[in-house]
Amino acid sequence: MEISQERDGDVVIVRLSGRLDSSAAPAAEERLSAALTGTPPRVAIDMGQLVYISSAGLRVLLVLAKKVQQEKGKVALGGLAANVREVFTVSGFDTIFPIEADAAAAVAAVR
Amino acid sequence: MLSFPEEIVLLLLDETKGEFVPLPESVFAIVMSGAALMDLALRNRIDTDLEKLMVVDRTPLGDDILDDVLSGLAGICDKRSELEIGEALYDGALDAEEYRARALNRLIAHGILREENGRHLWVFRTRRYPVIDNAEQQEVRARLRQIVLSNEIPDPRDIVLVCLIDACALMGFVLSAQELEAATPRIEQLRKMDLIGQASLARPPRPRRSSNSPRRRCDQVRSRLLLKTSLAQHAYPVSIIRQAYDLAFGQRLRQHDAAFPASP
Repeated sequence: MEISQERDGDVVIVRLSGRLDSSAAPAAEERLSAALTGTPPRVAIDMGQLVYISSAGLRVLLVLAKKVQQEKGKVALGGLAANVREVFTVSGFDTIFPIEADAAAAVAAVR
Repeated sequence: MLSFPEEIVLLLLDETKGEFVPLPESVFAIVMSGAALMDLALRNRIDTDLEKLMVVDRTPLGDDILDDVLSGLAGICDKRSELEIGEALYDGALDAEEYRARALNRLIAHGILREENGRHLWVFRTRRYPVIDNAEQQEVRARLRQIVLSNEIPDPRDIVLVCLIDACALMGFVLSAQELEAATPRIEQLRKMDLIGQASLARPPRPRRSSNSPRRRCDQVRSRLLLKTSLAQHAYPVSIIRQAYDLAFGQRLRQHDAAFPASP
């Protein structure tokens, strides 16, 4: 899995590509925690290149969402592939995260 | 911190009577197995998706319940390329009674419970487990109230506890009737968030769920477990009836068996 990060004003954009599963989860958790820099933090996660997510990956995002809530920040996801979107729907994670059509919309949602 | 199998055994005890709250054996077996699987998932030994369960690390944890379940799953994965969550649950559920006994022994060793043997009407042996230290029970109930009665984002452990408690229909011990009614949508939301919990601890199928839900695929496994449990419970009476038939109609029964051999 590859993780990259950039900044657009006060929004941190994290781009995830590949598979977010148990082997990728520790690195993803570390990188996403490091993205919580602003006060309050604003994080947009571009999942356009993410092809797979498992329960371990969902837990990483859950932990991130909890931290963001505690710091009264905002987080949004964008560009989910249909199979990844289905995981969010079945698991109810779509009730935790705003899910936008693409990364640009996710950035706008957390501004 | 207690493991989830220990936690569920403790929470199933009525702390005033020291007896287990009534729960069908098949439900208990699935819940116990689900507790072990969810513990293994949080300890990064297994991972799941909508289709299957994967063993990702076979390193033992030093917990005789979790290590047994992990070893069983690894054994299945050695023989097959894919393992469904429902099948993994079924495998663990077969040893649920043994796991309950181990969990009880550990809770006694930790000084949380004590074992008390007695007799009912001077004849029937009874065994109770009065709670000595109810701090863990109180803490879990307080945490559950906080998470269910708010919009706080749960942590993964909270979700597992909600799944386990609701599957055992124990939310009534944590919430008042009015609170429970008001919190039902929230409980539903939390229960969906763990795919093992969703598959294993589901109540009867609800409409409008996704066709790809693990819950749906678990239905067949649950039916098999129910059948196995009820067969085990009725094995003794059936053998008595068969002996009585044999005495009365032995020759005809043997002829019948020869004509219609039991399927393997």
